[in-house]
Amino acid sequence: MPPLDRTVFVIDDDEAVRKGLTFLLRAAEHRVETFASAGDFLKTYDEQRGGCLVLDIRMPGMTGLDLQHEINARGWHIPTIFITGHGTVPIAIAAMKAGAFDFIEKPLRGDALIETLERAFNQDEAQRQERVELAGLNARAAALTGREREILKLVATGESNKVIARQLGISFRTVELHRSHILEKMGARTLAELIRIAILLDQQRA
Amino acid sequence: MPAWQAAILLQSALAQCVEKPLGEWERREQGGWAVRKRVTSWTDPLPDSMRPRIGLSLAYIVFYLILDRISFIEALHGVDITPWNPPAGLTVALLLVGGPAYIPVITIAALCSSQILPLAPISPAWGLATALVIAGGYAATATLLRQGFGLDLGLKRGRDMPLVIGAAVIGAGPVALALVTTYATAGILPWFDLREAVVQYWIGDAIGIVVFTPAFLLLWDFLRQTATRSPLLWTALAEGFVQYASIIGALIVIFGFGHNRYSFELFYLLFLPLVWIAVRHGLPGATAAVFVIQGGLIVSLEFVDSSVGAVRAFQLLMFALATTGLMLGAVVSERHRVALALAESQGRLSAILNAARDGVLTINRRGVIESANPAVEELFGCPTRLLLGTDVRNLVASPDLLDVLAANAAATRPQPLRLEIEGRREDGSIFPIEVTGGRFGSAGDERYTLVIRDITLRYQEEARAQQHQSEIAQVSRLATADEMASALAHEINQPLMAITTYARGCLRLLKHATFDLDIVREGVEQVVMQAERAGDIIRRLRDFVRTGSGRREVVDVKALIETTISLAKIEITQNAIDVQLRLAANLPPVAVDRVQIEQVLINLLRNAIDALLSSGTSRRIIVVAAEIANAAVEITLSDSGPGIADEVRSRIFEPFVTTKADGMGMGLAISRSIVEAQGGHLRLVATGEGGTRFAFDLPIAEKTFASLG
Repeated sequence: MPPLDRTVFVIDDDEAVRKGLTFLLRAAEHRVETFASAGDFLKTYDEQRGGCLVLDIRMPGMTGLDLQHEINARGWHIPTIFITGHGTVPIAIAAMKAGAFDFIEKPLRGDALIETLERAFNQDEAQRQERVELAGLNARAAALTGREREILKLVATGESNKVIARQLGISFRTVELHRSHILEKMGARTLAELIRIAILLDQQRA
Repeated sequence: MPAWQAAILLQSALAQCVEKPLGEWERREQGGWAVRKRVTSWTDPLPDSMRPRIGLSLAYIVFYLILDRISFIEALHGVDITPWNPPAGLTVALLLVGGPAYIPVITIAALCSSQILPLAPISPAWGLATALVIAGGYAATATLLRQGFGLDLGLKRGRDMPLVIGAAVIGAGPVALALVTTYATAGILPWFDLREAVVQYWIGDAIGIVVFTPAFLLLWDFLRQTATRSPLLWTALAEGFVQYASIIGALIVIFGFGHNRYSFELFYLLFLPLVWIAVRHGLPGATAAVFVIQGGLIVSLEFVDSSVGAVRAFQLLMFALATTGLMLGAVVSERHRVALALAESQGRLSAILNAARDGVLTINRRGVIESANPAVEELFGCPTRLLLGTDVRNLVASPDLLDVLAANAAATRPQPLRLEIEGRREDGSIFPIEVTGGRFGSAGDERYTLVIRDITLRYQEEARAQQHQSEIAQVSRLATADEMASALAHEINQPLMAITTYARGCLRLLKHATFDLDIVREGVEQVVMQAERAGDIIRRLRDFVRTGSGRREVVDVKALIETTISLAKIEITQNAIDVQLRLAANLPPVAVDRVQIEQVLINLLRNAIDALLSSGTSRRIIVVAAEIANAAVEITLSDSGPGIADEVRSRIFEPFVTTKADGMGMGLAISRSIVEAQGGHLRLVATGEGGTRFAFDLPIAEKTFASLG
């Protein structure tokens, strides 16, 4: 499990806005890094770092929407909160479709930004954890033999050892042996846990 | 055929000729053989088309006798057994064309011939017998050719000509035998000569048929085709026949009694047919007639007195006759040609006028309509005949139309006159028209042509175009406003955003029991700074609005005013407002935002129009004047309206103050700020009973001003 990393990356072409956001977010005890343009952010960001992106839609050069598409293209997963001074429905739809986490109007009302950030961090962390877990599972699944993978698939569909043995034309005893190997290799303690893992892996493939 | 039936046929033909005019009678005769052969019995009442035609019959008889007389040479035993026999060709042609219905006619012709020509006397009974032999024999030949072999009367097919020749050779044989036998029986011809006579007659008739039948058939075909196109041709042919017959008649009168002293005096009879022909047929007719007369004269002299003296004397007379006839013919031809040309020109003109969609009128100098084309009727909804003789000013709303026309005509270099005025229809409705005028006729009796075009559609087009334009302007203004609002929102949102973030940050800091005062102070300082920034933005914006776009250009005052007036042209025209321009000479150009000043002018112009209309006065005058005053161009706009009410007069330039029921009260307020942004001043100069006058001044463009100074 990686350490919690809750940095807010602020991108806005207006220095006053950048500084204001920094002031507010630091007061809310967040780590803040600011960038004057989308390009600057893309140059320095390390995808291993968790956190959240706060960016203006309307910027000279690469706009907020362009940046979101670029992040998607690079396969990054950092959540994005758009801030716009002229929120119109089409723009909001475009941002959300592109995968924005949320869409907030300028100037800010109440603690909307802080609350949204909280949710974004939580989601980011959950997703990160899931990704890490999935990566481990994938590594373990890679260690399974062909026959073990076959049996795992059948186990995941809820077949009993007897049925599996008949289907594969092997002895009941051999199936039991394979199953204990699979449990061991996948680091699962119970059959229920193994089934959850199998479903997770299956979903990821889909 | 019994003689009584022939007599009945002839009688009915004559009766019909009397009953009906020749032209119509001839025109119906297109049926030809196909119609005639439907009649199966001679006793049935004959349909019209079956009856012999009297004109054709008479022509046939005359030609028959002439041809018979001409060919009466080397006649055997004094009867017409001649080496060639053209009447036979004529007879076969007639029977081919007319069918057996002409048997009686042929019988009559042959009978007449037998009683006139032969040197030996033939009793009428034997004459009739020979005539019937000829008619019956050739009728059989013709019927066989036409119905048996389907001969084409135009001889258009390759087999037609051999058919005629064959029929001539074969058909003439039996006729020759029967005829000669008849003569022998009658005792006119000795039986021992029978064979030689038959052979001669056979050959004579065969040659006559071969030579003449095709010629007559082709002539007939030609005449028929021509007659189909021009039914009057038959009348002309009949007239020609009578004309030439009268020439021959005159020659007979002159020389019929031998050459004596009366011949010279009677010679002048020849003038009658010649003058007749020349008058009717012009030079070609006269030439032909002179030729025929000359020929007839020579032939006649040959008969009566071919002495050199007689010929010379008659040739002198002939010279005078020919000269007179030819001169007369030439004059007639010339007159005919002129008449044709005139008719063609008239026809072309009236075709143009009838087809024209513009109304074309001619009027005299007092404005009375003398002629009008059909389009006028359509334009004004009044029959042309009712318009003739009336005053054109009933149709055209221009009291001084005649003066304008006269003045234009009197100008040293008259321009094509073009007016846009109103027309009044019969039902009283008014519509816009364009009138172009021209003059014709001699001095003192001037007449004018007026071409009138309904321009309702064009007005509608213009109105539509104008509305379209204003819609575009509205849309673009909205688009600009939207864009500006968006830009403005962004500009102001940035500092507001900063302000809220600083302020909220401060609030958060202040929530804690302990906080760094320096940080909070920094936050508050930023709030103040950003608030000031927002104020700056708004101030800048206000400056921007006040000075307009600031885009100044060098503008010609006259063009500016004229453009503006053209924008309001429809309202001006429709409401019959007299807009007068009083522009000082040599006005310098001004440096202004053209579009904005146009807005000011159009605003003032519309106010003036509304004022004039609201008052209901008939005196609708707007004067736009421009002159140089205080190193600027001062533009004044005056109307003859009722003036501005006292209670609003002092507040007229304030926003939301209006005298109009549906007005916004923004026009003058905006106009004043626009003019002031351009460095001028818009003011109400005077208002009251006499009308209202606004004035504003515009800066003269520097460069030009310098060059003036």
